[in-house]
This record gives sequence, structure tokens and C-alpha cells, in this order.
Amino acid sequence: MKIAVCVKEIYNLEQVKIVRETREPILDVPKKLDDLSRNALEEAIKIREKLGGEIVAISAGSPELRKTIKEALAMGADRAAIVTDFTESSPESAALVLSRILEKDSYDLILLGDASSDDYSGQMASRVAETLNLPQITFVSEIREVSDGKITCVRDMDDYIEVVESDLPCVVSVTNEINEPRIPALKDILKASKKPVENFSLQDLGIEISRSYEIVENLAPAVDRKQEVIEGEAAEVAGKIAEIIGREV
Amino acid sequence: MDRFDAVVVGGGAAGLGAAYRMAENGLNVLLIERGENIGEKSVYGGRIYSWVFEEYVKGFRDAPIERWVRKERMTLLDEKESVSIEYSSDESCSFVANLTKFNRWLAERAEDAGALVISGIKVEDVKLNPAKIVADGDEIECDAVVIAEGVNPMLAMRLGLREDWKPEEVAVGVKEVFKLSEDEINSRFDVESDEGVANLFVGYPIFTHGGGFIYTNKDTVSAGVVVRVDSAMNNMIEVYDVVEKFRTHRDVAAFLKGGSMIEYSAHLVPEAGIKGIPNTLHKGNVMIAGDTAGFVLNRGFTIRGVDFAFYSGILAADSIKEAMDKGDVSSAGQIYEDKVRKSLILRELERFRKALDVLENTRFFDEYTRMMVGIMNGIFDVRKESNRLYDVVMDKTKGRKLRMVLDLLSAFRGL
Repeated sequence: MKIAVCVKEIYNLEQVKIVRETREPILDVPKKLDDLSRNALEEAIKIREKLGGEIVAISAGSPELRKTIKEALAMGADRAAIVTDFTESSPESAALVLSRILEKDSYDLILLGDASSDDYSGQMASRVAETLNLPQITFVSEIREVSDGKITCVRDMDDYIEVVESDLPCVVSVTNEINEPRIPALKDILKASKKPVENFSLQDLGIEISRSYEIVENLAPAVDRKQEVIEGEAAEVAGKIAEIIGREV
Repeated sequence: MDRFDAVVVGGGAAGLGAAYRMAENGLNVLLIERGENIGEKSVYGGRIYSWVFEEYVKGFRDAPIERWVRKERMTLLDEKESVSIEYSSDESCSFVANLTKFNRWLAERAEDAGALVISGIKVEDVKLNPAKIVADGDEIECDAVVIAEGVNPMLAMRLGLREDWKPEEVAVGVKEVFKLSEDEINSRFDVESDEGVANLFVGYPIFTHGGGFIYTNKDTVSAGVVVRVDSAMNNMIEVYDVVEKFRTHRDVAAFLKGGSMIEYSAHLVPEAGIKGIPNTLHKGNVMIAGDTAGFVLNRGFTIRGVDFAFYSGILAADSIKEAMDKGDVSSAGQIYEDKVRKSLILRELERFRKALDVLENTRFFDEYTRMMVGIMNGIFDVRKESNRLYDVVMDKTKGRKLRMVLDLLSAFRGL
């Protein structure tokens, strides 16, 4: 099995700070591999453990990606193929870049996270599948079987589930219920530093980025606080808090 | 498993100094940081003295420096008033940086030089003869280990290299960062865009060992309070409470007004000077550097730690290199011990041994601060009749002149 896993670097959202007055985010924080990308990668590793083969981590992002991609290599990808001058990202351009990298090789299975925890647009699997003219299975919460050129997946549809079978190669996007991604140990991280990373530029891939839309504003949601301060003895304060909660519920 | 010439535990200033220098010298070095990213556990306001970076780090001028300190201000605060002394110069020997970002930059330089820098891994143990580290159940062998784990010396304690800090040997520092515009900071502090201010405060709200600080970053201002742990305990000082009081004092609030608080962090600072340095800084080929070794100097007017930390890392790196070149790598620990004892770090700490006694005297933080503010009040508070300087000073120092003169003399000698 040759598996490609498309992974995404995102800002470490836990560290993003918001300027309260203007509601603007301060994005001067390190990047990390998105959580759902980890789920996709974990699933690929499980398949490789059963069937053998190779896992290639595919990604497009900023120059920092050279560092972030090591997280994928440490988790267990065998090598990586990345573009690191892709900073003006949009779903359609990202799908195009990923597809161009994927076309450079042939894969039995292409795995992705269902959406990334930053933009959460959730378009990548479908866009990549359409660009490469491959079947797609989205919202996958379980991969039941991979054998004889076929894959069987469980799709989580909230109220019900669907069991879908497809021929390989196929694009599969996974939800966070599918597994618990492993945390790499020291020896995995050391190994990762020696794994090959192929670094393309957009020019190598013959891609010019165009944007069909423009981000006008990127602000944190406005939160109205009541700013009520309750003072007094602990028992008294607790009583008042209980009363307020009772009123609000 | 891979083998390295040296493993550095901790990605702060000390560890990065060691890893950078060893990589520059062609050694095969691994640095392991416990935080998810380099710099994440580093908390510092703060002003850093630049000499060591100018001397040792190529391309240092491209580092993420917020502002070069051109104005030094010492402020004595009481509840309502303040007295400030300002020194201003067109030359600067120190800069303000966000240590998290600065260390991240240093780590990149170390990586460029060939060091392997990894983060998110906790080193559980360090073993001797042969030197090795244990993490995630795996052992990595090497010729030497530099422990630069910061102020919480877990590994150094386990090796018996040092004891845990006593409450009187460490201070707790709390830093808040306020977002303002670059122009606003320039006008509030009366500086140009690349110029900064370091302002230390004594007195209110703690009136004991420690004080407040304000440092100007590019478009943020760091402000906070440092209190020695034993004083906080003895005086029932709640850190969050004094930070709040400091922030809302009229003469502090004026600098922070309208700024959105974007960061709140706390950290321990070694404060024991020469008395906090353990008897030995190495065991076999395992050596301790930076805060772990206690290389921080507080002489009241200035606090140095980051430059000493980085420099101690350099000394550790050079010791390992020297031992390897001699063909007797096992001597690295002893070479480091000798180098540090003869170094600027220990000379400085020794020179200011007496400063510890001076700064132990709480009268400077309370009585004399109030006295000085009171004298200024006596001079400037003119309501019809004004006071002669002589009368003001005599009145404010009544009954405590001798003690004061002795205290001032000791401060003069010690600081």
C-alpha cells in the first residue's frame, strides 16, 4: 500500500491572543500540525502496520512548514513532499497545490482530515478528489477494511451511519472519532530528522495562485460580559452566585 | 540509537548558548526542550545585556529585539506619590526582548549551525559514566550532558548537584503584557521607535524584597511585580493582589492606559547571588548552567541573568570542545568547573556578595522609600508657606539619622 496523507500546518490556536479592544488576533505564535491531520496520519499508520507499505506526508504552507512537517515524520510518515512558498492560502488553491504534488506519484489511498481546526472549510477532500478524478468518502469515523483494491468505510452522518465501499485509489477524509493519534517519542523524533523531505516551489509545480475572494475582516466574536462583581464572605457570595445562575437558567 | 557528542537539556538561554556554540565548533549536539516549542517555558519581561550575543552570535543584529534601552528609570513609589530618577543616553548596552521569541530565534541559529533541536520531550533522568539521558524510556549516550533546565532543578537535584531553593533564595515574578501602538509608546515614554525604557520600581505595593518593573517592547509594554517568596509568605502578600495594585497605581497606570492585556505569566527568579551557587557545578561529565546553577545577579539597580545563562552555556560548550581536543573527553566537567569559577559570572557574583546584605535590609524598600518621597513632598508641596530643605530633611529623618547614614554607607559600598 502506498498512502498519501495530506496534512496542514495551522497556528497553535491555544496560543493565539486577542486584542480585546479591536478583537484582532495576534498571530505571532508557532505553528503546529492540525489535529485532524494527525487523525488521518494515525489511520494511515494503522493500515501500514497491517498491510505494510509507505506513507508520504503531503503539505503546502509557509517556510515554517519545513519544521512543522517533522511532526508528521515523527509520528510515522516515511517521507514528505511539501511546498513551502504557499502563504496566500484558499481552499481552491490549496486543493490545486496538493493535487499537483499528488500527481507526481501514484497512491493507493489518499487520506485527509475532514476539516482543519483553523478555517474549518472542509472542502479539501472533495476538491482533491474532483481534481484528480478519484472517488471520495468523507466524514469517515471508521475504516473497516482495506483489501483487494477496495476500501470499506463507516461514514458518520450524525443521526445514522453509512457503510460505503469504494475501489482504490480513493480519497478518504476522517473525523476526530476515528482514532487517538499517537504522540511521538524521542526516538521517533530523532528518526524523523533523517527522513527525506522533497521541497517544491509553486513554480516547480507550475501553479499561479489566484483568489476568488478576499478576507475583509478577521475578528474574534464580540463577547458581552455583564461585569458584575460580587463581594462579601464566601458563603454569602456563593449564595448570590447560585441565585444569579438560577435566574439565568 | 543515535549517539551524540553532547546532549543539552533545556532550550532556554543557557541551553541554547551551549548548543549553538557546540554546533558552531562542529560537535554533534542534541538539545531537548520540554515545552511544546522552544521558548514556551521562558518568561522574561525583560531587559537583556547584549555583550555576550554581540561577541558570540553571528547575525545577532537580526535578532527579534523589541527596543534598545536608552532610558533607565528608578522610581520610588508610595500609595499616592512617586519620585523618579532617569538616566538617558544615546548609547545602549542592553535591549528589551520577549524571551520566548528571542529564544526561538536563538534555536534557529543553533539549528542553522547544525545542532539538532527538539521540543515537547521531557528528559526524565541523567546518568553518569558513561553520560546519558533518559527520555520516553529510551537512553541516549553521549560524552557530556549540559543541564540547563532552568530554575526548577529537578535533574540537578536528583544528581545531588544542588538542593531545591529555599523561600529566601527565589522570587516570584509576574508579568503582564499590554498591547498599545508603537506611536503611542513612543509618545508616552518619550522615545524613538528603536529606543526603549527600563523602569524599576521600589516601595508600593509590597514595601519589601522585590519591586515593580515596566519595559517597553515594540508595540506592547511589559509590567509586573517581583516578590521574594519568603517576604510574600511572611507579609501575607498575594501575588495577584500586588500585581493589581501596581497596575492601578496612578503613576504606573498612566503608561498602560487603554492597553489590552494580552499576556499574563509568572516565573521564579533565583535571587541568592553568590550564595545560591552550589559547591560543585559538575559531576563527571554532567554540568549545570544558567538558572539551574543560580547565575543571576541582582544589585538593586540592575538584574542580570539571561546574559550569564547564555555565557555559561558557551563556557560549557568550550569545555567539552577543549576536553575532546585534548583527547580526554572525561575531563570536560572539571574544565567547566574551572572555567566558570574564573569567569566573569563568578567574579561579578563575588563582587556583589555584599549587595545581598544590603538588599536584605527591608528599610530600603519601605522606610527610606517613604522618607525620600516625603522629602520631595516637603520641598514641592507649596501652600502659601514653603519649607526649607533643611527643615524637611530634619523632620523626615527624625530619630533615625545614624541608622540611615550607616545603611546608606553599606548600600554605597555593597551596590
